[in-house]
Amino acid sequence: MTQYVNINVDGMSIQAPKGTSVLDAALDSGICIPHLCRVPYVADIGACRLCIVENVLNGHSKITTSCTLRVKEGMVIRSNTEKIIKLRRNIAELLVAEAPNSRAVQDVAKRCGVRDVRYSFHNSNCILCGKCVRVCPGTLGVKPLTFVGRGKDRRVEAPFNLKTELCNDCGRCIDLCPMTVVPCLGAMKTGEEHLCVNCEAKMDFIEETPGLCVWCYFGEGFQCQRHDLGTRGRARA
Amino acid sequence: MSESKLAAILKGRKSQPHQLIEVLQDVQSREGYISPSSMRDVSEALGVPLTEVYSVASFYKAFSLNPRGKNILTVCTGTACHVRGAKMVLNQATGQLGVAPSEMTQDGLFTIEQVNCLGACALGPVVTENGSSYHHMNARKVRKLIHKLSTASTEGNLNEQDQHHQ
Amino acid sequence: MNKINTINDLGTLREKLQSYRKSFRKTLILCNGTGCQASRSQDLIGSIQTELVKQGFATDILVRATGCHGFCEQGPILVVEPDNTFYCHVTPDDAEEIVRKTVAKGELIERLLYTDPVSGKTIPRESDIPFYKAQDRQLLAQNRQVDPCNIEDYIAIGGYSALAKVLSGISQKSVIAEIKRSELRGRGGAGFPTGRKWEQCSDAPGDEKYVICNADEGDPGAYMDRSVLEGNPHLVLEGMIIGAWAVNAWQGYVYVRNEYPLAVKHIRTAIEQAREMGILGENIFGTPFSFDVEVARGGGAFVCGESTALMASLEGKVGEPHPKDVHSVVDGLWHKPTVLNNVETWANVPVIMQNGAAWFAGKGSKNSKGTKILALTGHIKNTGLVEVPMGTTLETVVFTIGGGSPGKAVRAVQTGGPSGGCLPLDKLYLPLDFDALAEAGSMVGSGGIVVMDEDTCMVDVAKYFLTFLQDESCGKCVPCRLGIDRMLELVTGIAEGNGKPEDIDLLEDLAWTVSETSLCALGKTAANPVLSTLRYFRDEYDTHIHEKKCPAGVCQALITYWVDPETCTGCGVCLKECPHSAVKGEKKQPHEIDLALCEKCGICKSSCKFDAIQVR
Repeated sequence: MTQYVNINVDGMSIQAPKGTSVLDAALDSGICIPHLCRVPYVADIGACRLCIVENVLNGHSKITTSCTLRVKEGMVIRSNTEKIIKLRRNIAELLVAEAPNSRAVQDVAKRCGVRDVRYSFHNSNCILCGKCVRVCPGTLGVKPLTFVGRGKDRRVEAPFNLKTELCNDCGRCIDLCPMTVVPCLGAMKTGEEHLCVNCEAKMDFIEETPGLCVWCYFGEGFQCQRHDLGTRGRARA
Repeated sequence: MSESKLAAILKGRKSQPHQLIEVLQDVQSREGYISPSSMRDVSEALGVPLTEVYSVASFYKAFSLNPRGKNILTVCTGTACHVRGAKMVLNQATGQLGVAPSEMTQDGLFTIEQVNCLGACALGPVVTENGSSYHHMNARKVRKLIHKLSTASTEGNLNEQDQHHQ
Repeated sequence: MNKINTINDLGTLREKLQSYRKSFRKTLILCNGTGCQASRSQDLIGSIQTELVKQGFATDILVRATGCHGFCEQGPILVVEPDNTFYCHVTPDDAEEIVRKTVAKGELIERLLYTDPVSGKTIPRESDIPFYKAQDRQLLAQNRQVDPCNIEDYIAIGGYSALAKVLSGISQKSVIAEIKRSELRGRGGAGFPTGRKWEQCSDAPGDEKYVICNADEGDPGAYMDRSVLEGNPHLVLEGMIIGAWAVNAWQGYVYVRNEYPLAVKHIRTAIEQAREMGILGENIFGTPFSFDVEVARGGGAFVCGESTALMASLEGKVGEPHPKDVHSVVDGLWHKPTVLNNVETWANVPVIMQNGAAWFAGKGSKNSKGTKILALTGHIKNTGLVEVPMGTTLETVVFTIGGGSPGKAVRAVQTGGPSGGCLPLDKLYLPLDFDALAEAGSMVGSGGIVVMDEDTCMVDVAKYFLTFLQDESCGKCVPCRLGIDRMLELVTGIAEGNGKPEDIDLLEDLAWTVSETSLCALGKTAANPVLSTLRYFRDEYDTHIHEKKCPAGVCQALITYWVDPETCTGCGVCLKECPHSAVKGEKKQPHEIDLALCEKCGICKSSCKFDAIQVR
């Protein structure tokens, strides 16, 4: 028998099985908390920090990532306070300034309210979300992919030519990589990077409709896992 | 690395993945760096996937993945040494030898390393070189030190005098 | 070494050792900590021993090589007991005279005595020296009484009697209650109440529990933990054994950073000797309690001072922190309940159990009890380790004990390492208190205090710490990895004269983001150096931005070297020394620096005997 707990997210009471993360619980209930490094059914690491929420305990709000926070009976979560929205926007701004050459990153930035980028653009081809490393099945559990180095030298590598013996060409890493989807107007050359305004996330009034998944009103977006479910399950007003 | 050397390092540690860092420390001090073949041997002996050995070896600054020069000049860049001018000492060393920290010079004679605090703050800025330490350093003194090390043979002959009358 | 089978055996042994120590006519105590070793204390010890034999005093004089005494500026140090004579800056060549005069006849050697800089007089007795008198050396004072590689020294001064007391019938709950009553707060930086931590671990379900000693001490300029671990490892061990008893752990680890080989050696020796004597291992002192300790070395990562990263490193993995929504007292090393405490925290435990919680809580301020060891470094006369009651003002530490700055006036004091902040001169009235310093934008941290004089540029200090943190960040989470990178970009721009007024607002917004959203404490506190320098030294940033000048003369891009023609004698030394041939001039004529060739290495300035070269 699955044990369920009740938590409160943005004023809405939702039920989730014990052991679920707050992020999963929210997404399953139609509350979209922006995220980037989440892979369904694979352990979350809290690396991108976009899914931050306020966990209200004894009158104090503690900011933590919803993907690593397990649900607990009576939990009170706020995912779109002014503070969270600003912080999330700043994080997304850092991401898009680092790797603008991806429709997924641009989409997330737009979705999180980034309107201008105050940093000089770098043209990285990896945002170190770790999805590829985490989802790689390898051969008999031994993966060819791993993180190497530390800090700004951190990168994903397939060292010692192990790719040839351990990779089984499942293609999951490519499917999940945010950098493999080119911006809608084409690849950006070094020196020509910019904040793309054509992303599918047309959310100019996200601030006015908090707590509800963007897709309800605006259609599909790259990040949204509910895209298919929505057309089947939602009630049309 | 020879079989016997490796066996000595792995004694009591086989099949214990959590000993990985200790084992790599010993390999580093024996060989001066962690070579791909050492990584393979360690991976097999401890039961840790090779990619993970590489991941750990590349994460920690104590491990060098490339051979290092004969003279390893370590400049302390801790806060106390920094406010006493350690940056100028480091700049002089890297400029004079033409390499960045952790790189080896072409002739294989020098590698400059940076360390964040050796704990001898009263004597800062401090530079250590293969076991000897030099105190109250500045750009001029380190220039002289590098000259001396380049010309002298590294088998002893480092004048005791120089360590104190800086 | 004989095994100690019962608690009574310990008492008997102690008495025996104490009378042995008293049987010597004189004892020569020589500091052999890492700092003094760098000044040849090993050779000095060798010379002293040779001379004692040569002059016929080998049997009635005891020579003890100890760990750090703390008065590092005066090293190498030699103390003669029972006269309490204090000699400083001793060289191996002085050994002959010391034995001939002081050991043989009790005669003092004037030139080796400490000279008080204020009165100008020499002070022959160690206990009269103001540097020591102004401190409360509960932990540090033990260093001079023990040879760290000899467990018997520790037993002789009363060591392991706190453990004996605990194992003679104090319940686990009572030990935890006592530590709670003492209000001891973690000495590693976070200042979490130790008693509460132990209680949470004790209450956590499970039979497998661990205790860990965090000896990673990554803060640059801080070496308190090193000195305690190197100089008195048994004090730390005793604390760990008591803690393990309290929470019911049977295995402990000491995680020492890689850069402290002497500390690693000494703690390993201490553990071996403790095992030999039955103080570690099965059935300690004949009781049912069994506990053992292993030593693990760090790999050169500051981030491994963070508890979850340290535990990952102990497990043989990369030192990446994980989120702490469930604390390590419940889910720690190998997912088992774990108590992780700093070296100094553990060292305080036997002292508290011996003297009582009320005694400990009687020192310090309202929310910060006991004493704290500080590493006083930078532009300060008395560089070294000091131990003061919490609540002592920074002013007392820096000026009364530290003696102030040797050269230019003190400008700022940096506390708490890279996670802390810089406080200006007018804030030095603040007490050494966890809450007071945190409110002021800094923190007590692990106890590192770096004094900075007028020749320090605060923008450069912010840049230095950001560079350090960028290097040490594990790189997993976005705010820390990208945020610190961008903060460094902005501050570097300002230091190089490319700053814009809007940069400050962006810096503040970014700093706020990094501190609120980073995964671990490294990221969360990374913004402190920037924020505190902006708070107290904003005008210096403004000068860099608006006037493109560095008032302290540090930021390379904004300074030039210049020869003062009035002072220059034309001796030509700078011309010879300049590696870039940038100095031009005729003999006996004022020289000039060709700015196009000048690389600003500073060699000319340090070679000039007439102080004729200035930085503008």
